Order: sequence, then structure tokens, then C-alpha cells
Amino acid sequence: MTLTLAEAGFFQKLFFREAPSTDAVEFVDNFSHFLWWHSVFWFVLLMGLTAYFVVKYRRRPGNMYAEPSPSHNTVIETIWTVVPSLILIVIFLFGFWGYMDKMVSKSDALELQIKGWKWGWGITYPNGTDSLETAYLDEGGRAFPVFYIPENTDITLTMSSQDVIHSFWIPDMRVKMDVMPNRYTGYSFTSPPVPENATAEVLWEDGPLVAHKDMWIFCAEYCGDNHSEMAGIMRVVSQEHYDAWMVAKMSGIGPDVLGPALFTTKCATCHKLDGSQNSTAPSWKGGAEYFDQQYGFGYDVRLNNGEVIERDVDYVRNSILNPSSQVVAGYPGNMPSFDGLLTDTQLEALIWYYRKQSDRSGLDAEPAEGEEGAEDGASEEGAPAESSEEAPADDTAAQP
Amino acid sequence: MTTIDAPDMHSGHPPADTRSKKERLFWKNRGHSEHFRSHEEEFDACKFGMWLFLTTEVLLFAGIFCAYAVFRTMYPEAWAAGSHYLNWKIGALNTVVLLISSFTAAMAVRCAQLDQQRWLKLNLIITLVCAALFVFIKLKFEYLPKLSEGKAPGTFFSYPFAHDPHEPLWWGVYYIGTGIHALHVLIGAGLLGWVLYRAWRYKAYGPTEYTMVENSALYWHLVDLVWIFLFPLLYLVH
Amino acid sequence: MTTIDTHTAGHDHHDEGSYLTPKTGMIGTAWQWATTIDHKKIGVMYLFAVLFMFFLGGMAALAVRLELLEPTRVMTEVVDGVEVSTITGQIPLWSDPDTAEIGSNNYNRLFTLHGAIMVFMFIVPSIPASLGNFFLPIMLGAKDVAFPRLNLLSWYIYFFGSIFGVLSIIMGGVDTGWTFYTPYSTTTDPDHWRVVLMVLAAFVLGFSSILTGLNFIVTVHKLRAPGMGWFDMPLFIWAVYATSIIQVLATPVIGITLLLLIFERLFHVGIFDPSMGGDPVLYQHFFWFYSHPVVYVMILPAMGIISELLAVHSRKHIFGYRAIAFSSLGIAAVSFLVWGHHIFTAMGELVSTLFSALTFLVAIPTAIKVFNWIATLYKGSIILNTPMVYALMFLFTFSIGGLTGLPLGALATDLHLHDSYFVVAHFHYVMMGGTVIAMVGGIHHWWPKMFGKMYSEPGALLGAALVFIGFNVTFFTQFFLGLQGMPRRYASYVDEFQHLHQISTYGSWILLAGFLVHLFVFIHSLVAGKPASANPWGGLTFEWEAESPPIEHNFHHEPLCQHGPYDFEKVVPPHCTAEEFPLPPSPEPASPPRTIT
Repeated sequence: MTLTLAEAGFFQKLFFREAPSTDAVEFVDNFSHFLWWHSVFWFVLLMGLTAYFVVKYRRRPGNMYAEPSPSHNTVIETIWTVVPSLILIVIFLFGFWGYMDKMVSKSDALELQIKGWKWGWGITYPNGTDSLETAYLDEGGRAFPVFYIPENTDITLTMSSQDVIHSFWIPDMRVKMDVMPNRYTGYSFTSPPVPENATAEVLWEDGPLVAHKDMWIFCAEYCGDNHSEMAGIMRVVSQEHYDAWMVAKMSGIGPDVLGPALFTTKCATCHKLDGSQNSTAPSWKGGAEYFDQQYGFGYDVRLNNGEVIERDVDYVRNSILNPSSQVVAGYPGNMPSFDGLLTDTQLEALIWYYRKQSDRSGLDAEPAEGEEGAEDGASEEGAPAESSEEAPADDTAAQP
Repeated sequence: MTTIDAPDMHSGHPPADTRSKKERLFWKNRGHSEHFRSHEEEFDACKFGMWLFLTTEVLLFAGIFCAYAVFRTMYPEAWAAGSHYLNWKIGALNTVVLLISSFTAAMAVRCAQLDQQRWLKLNLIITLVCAALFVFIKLKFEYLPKLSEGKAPGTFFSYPFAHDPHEPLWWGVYYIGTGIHALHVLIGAGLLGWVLYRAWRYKAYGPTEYTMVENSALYWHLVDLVWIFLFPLLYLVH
Repeated sequence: MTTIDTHTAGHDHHDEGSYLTPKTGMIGTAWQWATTIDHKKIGVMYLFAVLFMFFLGGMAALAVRLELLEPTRVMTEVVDGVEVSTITGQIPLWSDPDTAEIGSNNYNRLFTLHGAIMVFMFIVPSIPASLGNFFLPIMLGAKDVAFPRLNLLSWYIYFFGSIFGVLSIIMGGVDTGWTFYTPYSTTTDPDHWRVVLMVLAAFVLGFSSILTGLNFIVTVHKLRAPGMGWFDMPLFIWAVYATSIIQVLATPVIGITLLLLIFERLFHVGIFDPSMGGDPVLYQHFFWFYSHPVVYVMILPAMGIISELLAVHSRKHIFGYRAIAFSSLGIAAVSFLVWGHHIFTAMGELVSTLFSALTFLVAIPTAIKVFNWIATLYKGSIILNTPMVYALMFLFTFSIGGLTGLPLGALATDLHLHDSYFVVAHFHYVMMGGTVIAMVGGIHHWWPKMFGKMYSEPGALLGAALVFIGFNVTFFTQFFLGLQGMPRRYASYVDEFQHLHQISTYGSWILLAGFLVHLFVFIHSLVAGKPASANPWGGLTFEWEAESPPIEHNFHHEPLCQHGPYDFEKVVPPHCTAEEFPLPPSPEPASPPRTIT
């Protein structure tokens, strides 16, 4: 299949912006076109009749009253009851057919686990790898997670949510399904081929030139403040490049790579690094004063219950795993728990990255210890001298 | 336009009523509202309206029964454990109390129709005593002991010997179902109390004027009916 | 209609003034209105209240469209490290002074506001409570509804329910969406009462809806004029009757649902909370079990109005009276079986398939109605005045709304279109292109009757043209947005959708201009309109036999039903001459007057 944009007709472009990329998509598109032309037929028929009657029987001298006409006609009424009913049955059957195609998973499909949370998407591949790729829309713009999938492959998604209901929509595949907090949902689709005229770029360090097709992922079920930022990109590459990417990502990476990658895929929708003030979540940047609060590692934080505690590693760890236990004053406290979404290595990498943002991180002085310190509460050596006086507060901070 | 103007169809603007409230409300002196053609029509309309309202009440409780059914299917163990905590004897006692009160409420309507003023009042009083007894038994032997043991709904649940993790949900359904029912008991008692007051003070109800008695009694039967469903579902089915 | 006037002095209402005649003094008049049990005054109060709510909800909609002019968020900007609203200038819109929380989610609060106000406070009570309250008893030939005091009570319940809603907005707004989906609605703004207040408002407004519906059902059953059988009732009455049945049967379910939601928020009972074993999809089932039938509470009275407008303004009996009447009841019945099509993406395959099949059932009676309306125009005498133009507009927009329901009912396409702008466009074509258009048409049709004044016909036609153009520009573009992949409830979006969004926003401004023209025409009519005759359109139903505006007790004498509501070929309309509204040259002999049984 070598379908390109040029082949798409006017209505295909108006409806779906480009030609269908797989057979299943083509089915939905053709069905949509059928429904469209069927509707146009009825609409033109009905409105044409209306317009004709309005003109022909307009009130004017000579037509001041209605000519006697039948008040009902059983034949006509039967016809216009039965014919639409038959058409509706056909439409239902086509709809059912296409639906089952999306619901039934193929036997040897690639199984991907999708996790949704406020506000982001995560993916887990069959070998346990997360996708840590991020694409920037434009300079300084929003970053979206990128999920690699091989072309022309049957894919089955198993989805669940960490907090509220989301909905995983891939418009280019014409399918979506709600992502629930208390159950698994999912659907199947066949990934499209990479178009022949696709641009090729170097997509990861030391990687080859990869031709790819990007498809948007949108959250379609309203989920709060940053619902409209909860997007992602599904990147279709050839099987060969998919395997190469998997190898590149599977090789061990240190917290200096893992930390920023995790931050952009999992935290950056809400938390910022530049100290800019937004109302969704506190910035990670430390050292400056914003809005009578000092952010960042090593600084004190006022919680919404009035308590003031120090941001040490336990505080950070607890904030990730059990965020509602210590909400910063002035914030809505709608961060979900990331318990179960991060491995221990990833958690440590994130905490390391958080510390790194502060001028009180203590990491530069003792880099080696600082990394290990993330794990077993070496808060005192990491904390600056002045706040070590408040060390007793650490215990309370860690309490859920 | 055709207008038939029979004199009894229009009371127009009646002259200012100089009678005392007691005279006006006495059942023999009650007429019908201006926009109805007859007293019977008004009575029929009121009763029909009440039945419609009772339909909405049934549908309100249908929501709770539906939630009960759904979670019973999802968590049968929690539901079995939940009903074991309830003492069916207390539930049965309350059922008897409500059945008696329903009987006396029906008798009150009958007494109004027969102009037996004293029996009307007596029957209403028995109904109200039963209502109070029901609420008392509910609070004293069910709600308060259970709450003090920590068998509370949702996050307030602190009972240390729970068998099933979904017991808080059971208690949620239990308290909402019986709580909304108890609220209806209080509303029904309020209606019957109002009827009693008017019967006592004004002799307001008699053979031609007993709409309020009948409708209040209908409401009370609904309260009874809901309990007839709640009792086996919560206490008896394991 | 002939009048057998056998009136005897003292028993009729000849000496009464119009219901609008004020008492002496401002306070006296205000008190008279506040305590009235006259269905006409209550209807007028409802009319102004729902129109005010339409204005509030419309303002929120315009703000929503304004935000969507740009792909990025424009409604807030960062000034000195603090995010502020660009609409209110430098002041943060909806900030909470206690916690210094800043509203970054203004957009979410605005569309929730738009949805909640439009659904609960405007469109559900819109036609039944205002035009229905005013005209249902008159069209039946009754002096009032069956329970006038209950009617006043339901007005006050509506009033205080709306105050709860407005209060929650003043306290900071709600960002749950009007559907209050759990678990988002039970967890958002955990320290605030405003979500509870908004849910409580919807709960209280439900009571108002139930009581109005109950009142109407009893009125239709018990207070029809002598001689008026069920099939002599105007189709507007049939439609309101079907509506009332839905209101009575469906609203209690939303009542208990919202009550459970309030318990969930206040006491965390866990019924809808997945972390405690509860089921958020159960909430959706409960919610749509009410909220789907309520869609027909919104559209059925509109269909009733259209039946009236088309018949009167083409001076033609309605085609297939019984088919239209029964299709109203049929729609009401089927409406209880199709709620699942709102949650195709949250249910299993079997249930989804079943609901999809049932959903198509609802299309049949609706299609029958449209066919009958168009057949009514055949061989009529059609005048293109404002009410008729609105009725034709309804046929246009409602047909689009109905036909675009097909891809949403079909499973394969719904999985793509669900929760996209296609859905937004579809239900605006049905709700606004259906209900609002019909309501505006109905207000124009009955305006002379309600207020005794004529309005400026050219002005109203200009307004109608602007509304028609603005509406289609605003919402037709959204079909393509949805097909191309634009999700609902997005404050910001990817750049490729910007052109269509811009067209849509420009359309909303034309729409605003149209409604402003109507507002001006109405105010002008109230202040300086020409007095209306009792029957300016030549209608045959009972309201045209009353004076304009009607007297306190509606009729001077109790009316008697002698002909069908649409016998335009047989009867000269009341208060009209045969010169104004001539009859066909050789009419069938008029049926003999029926006797009162």
C-alpha cells in the first residue's frame, strides 16, 4: 500500500486531512463517506421539497387558503417508515462490522501497555521497556512523549489509568477507548506503513537516518486542568529501525540521561524548570523567590495544612509516591500517585534530577555521594548548613 | 367560540369570606378550587398527582437498589459479610412496626370517610407512635452501636475485624439506603402529623373532604413498601 | 368559531382586565407577581429567567470560542510571575483569596459553566416551563394548571436551584464539565464546596422539573375543555405531555445519582470511587439513564411548537396528526432504552452492540415527524413571517442534527467521533438548531398573545437571518474539526485545526449579533409595539380565542371544543373575518357541534 496525500480526494481531505493508511481505516473512511452521501441525499430531497412547497404554495392572491388535501396516506406513511428502517439496519450492521474489527485482537499482535495519568501517557513494551522519547512541537513549546511502533504490525493496547478516566484516541487510526482507573480496556489496530516520501532524520544519539510517520494521540475524555496538553505521538518506523531503537534504549543509562528523560515524559506537563509561575504545580527550579514561596530542593515549603517542612529527599520521594499527603499551599493538589509507574532506578533518577535544579542541591560538592544519597535519606549532607538545624522536621515530612 | 355558562361552573371572585378559619376549614364547608369543575374532579386530580409522585419516589429508590445489585454482583463476599453484621430480629421488629402503622394509616382514611373523628385521631396517633418507634429502634439498636464499632461508610470505616476489603462499600450502600428511607419516614410522619393537627383543631376531614388523609396515607404506604424491599435485601439475603 | 353566548351576569369574567394589569404601586405589583398562582404570570417569570440563563450561558460560550481563536491558551497570561485572565484585565478570574490559588483552568470552568447553565437552568425548563406553563392550560381551555400552588412552588425551587448554581460560580466556578464524571468530579477542588453546590443545584432543579411535569400530566388528563378528546388536543400539548412523562420518570434517577455524588464528595462512601471498589462507569450509566431521556425533554416540546407553527402559518391541517402524536410518545418510550450510546467507549462489546441497535430505533419516529411536517406544507397557503421562517429553519438545522446522529450511533464511526467536535456540532444542531430555534420561533408566534403587542417584522426577520447564518457558520465547521481529530473540551490545540476554529469563532459573533437584534426587537415591541389583535395569525386553538393578552382567568366563558385544532379548511378563525382568512370555495359541511358529555 502506497497511499499518499495526493491521492486523497476533496472530501477525504476535508474529512480526514489525508488518505487512509490501513485497510481498517479505509473501511471507516468509506463508511463515513457512505453516510455523508446518504445524508446529503436525504437532506437535499427534504429541503428541496420544502423549498418547492414554500415557493409554490406561498400565500398570495389566488392562494389565500389551503386546497383540500388528504390528512394522511397510509401507503406513503408506510413507505417512509419502512424504507428508513431498512437503511438503518444496514448502517447498524456496517457499524458493528467495523467495530468488531477494532475490538478483536489478532493472535500474534504486539501487546503494548498504556498507562494514563493526569496529565500524560506512558507506554510499556513487551520487554518491560518504557518509552522515554520526547518531541518538541516548536521552540520553547510543549513537549510530547513519543511512542515507537513498527510498521504494518498488528497492535493490541491494554490500557489503565492511574487516577481519573482518560481516553486514548489515535485520530489517524479512527479509534479510541476510555482508559479507566479500575479496569483494563483496550483495542486493536494495524500500524500503517511508513510512507515512501516520509522524511528521514536522526532520531536518537548515534542512530541511523530513520524514516517515520507520526500520528497524534489525544486524550478525549475530559480530565482536568491540562486535559488539552495530554497528547502524545505515535511514531511508526520500520521493523528494523524499531529493533535498533529498542536496543539503543535498552542499554544502561545513568540518571543524568534518565532523569531529564523521565521529567519530560512524566512531569513536564505540569512542573516547569524555569521557575515560572503556573497554578497547576510548583516549579522545580530552586533558589529564586516566587509568590512568597521558595521552590527547589533544600528550601522550606509551606504545606496547605500550614505546616512548614524542608524539601529533602524523603519529601521528594513521598511527593512522587503519595502526593496528596503533602500538598504545597496554594496548589490544587491534583497530582496522581506515581506509585507503580516508576521503577526504583527511575525514581532515584528523578529525585537526582530534582535536586539538580536547586542551588542547594549539594550535588556539585559531593557528586558521588549525592547520587547514592537519593536512596537512603542522606538529607543532612545534601541539605545546606542552615536548614540542617531543622533536621527533626524530616521525620514528619516523610509521614504519609 | 362556544361558551357554556352554567352558574355552578364559575364561582368568579367570591365576596370576602367573613367566616373564621375554624368554620372555613370544617370539612362540610369545603368547596373546590375554582379551576376544577367539581369536587370529585379535584379529588381525582389530587390522587392522580400523588400516584405520579409516588412513581418518582419508587424510581428514586430504584437507583439505590440498582447500586445494591451491581455491587452485590461485583463483591458477593463483602455483601454476605455485611448482612451477617445485621441482626435480622431488629429488622423484623421494625418491619412489624411499619406494617402496623400502615394498617392504622389505612384505617385513618376509612375513619375520615365514615366521619369517625375520634377514631381518625386515634389511628393517626398510633401511626405516628409507630413512626417514632421505628426511628428509635433504628438509631438505638442499629446506627449508634454500629457506628461506635467503626462500621461506618467509606473512609470513615474503622472496624478492625473486617472480613472483606469492600465492606466499607457495603456500609455505604446500607447507610444511604436506610438513611434515605428514614428520611422518608420522617417526611411521612410530618405529613401525618399535619393531618392530625388539622383533624384535631378544625375537624378538617370527613366523608367529602379527605384528600389530604388519603394522600398522606398513600405516601406512608410507599415508605412501608420500600422497607419491605430493603429488609430482605439487607438483612436476610446472604 | 361560533359562540353560543348564554352568559348570565356575575358568573363570567367579562369585567376582568388582562393578567398583565398591574396592582397599584411598585411593591404591590412585585408582591402580586411573587405570590401569583396564575400560570401565565409564572410562565412569563420562567420565560425571563430562562432567557437570562441563556444570556449567561451564551456569554460563557462566546468566551470559550474566543479562547479557541488561537491554538495556545490566550485567556490567561503571565504577569509578574502570576497568571491572570486576559478577559478581566489584570485581575485573576476566579481566584481563591484564602489559598492564593490562581485560575489557570479558566477555560475548563467556562465550558462547564456554559454546559451546566445551558442544560440544567436553560434548556430543560425552557419550553415546557415558560411557553408550556403559559399555553398548556389555555390550549386545553382550562383556567389554570391542576395544582397552581405546586406550580408556584416549582418556580421557586427553580429560582433557588439557580441561585445555588450561580453561587457556585461566584465562589470560583466548577471545572468538572456539566456531566460531573466521576472520579474527577469527586476529587477535584477537594477543599471547596462549589462542586457540591453545583451538583446540589442540579438536584434541586430536578425537583422543579418533576413537579412541573407532574402538574402538566394531571392537567392534560383532568382539565381538558368539554368536548375535547385526546385527539382534539393540539400537537404542542401532545409533545409537552410526552415531555412531562419523561420528566417524571427519568428525573428521580438523576436525583439519586446526584445525591450519591454529594455523599461521595462529603463522606467518601466509595460507590463511584475506584480506589474503594466503587465503579465510575456505574455513575455514567446512572447519569445517562436520565440525561439521555432528558435530551427528548429538550427536543419534544420544540417539535410540538413546530407542528403548531407549520400548520397555522400554512393554514393547513397537519399531515398525519396521529402519527405525530404517537411518535412523540414513541420517542419518549424509546428514549429510556438508548442511554448507553453515550458511553460506547466505556462498555463491553455486547452491551455496546445492543445499545447501538436500540439507538437506531429512535431515528424512526423522528424521521416520521420530519416527513409529516414537510407533507403538511403540500398545498398549503404559506406565509413567510418570522415564526414560519423559524419553523423552516428548524427543519433545515434539525435535519442536519438528526442525520449526523447516524455516524454517532454506528459503532465503527463512533469510536472515532466520540468525544470529538463532531459530537459537539451534532448536539448543538439538535439542541440549539432544534430547541432554541423552535423556542425563538414559538416566542415570536405567541408574543402578541403573551404581551398584547406586535413586533417589528423586518427587524425580526433580520435577526432570524443573522441567527441562521451565524449558527451554521459556527457549528458546521465543527463537524470537520471532529472528523479531523479535534477532541472536545480542549483549551489549546495543535495548529492544523486553527483555520476551522477561527471560522467557527467568527460565526459565534454573527450569532451574537442575531440575538442582539432579536433582543432589540422585543424591547422595542414592549415599549412601542402596536397593539396586537386577539388572533393575528388566524389560529384555531383555544389560545387564539382568548384576548391578547388573556384575562386573569383566560376566558370570559368556559370554552367548548367543537372542531379539531387544525381545521383551517373548514372554520373561520375566531376574532377573524372570512375576508382576512377565506375558506375554500366548496368546503365540506362542518361537522355538527359535539355535545358535552
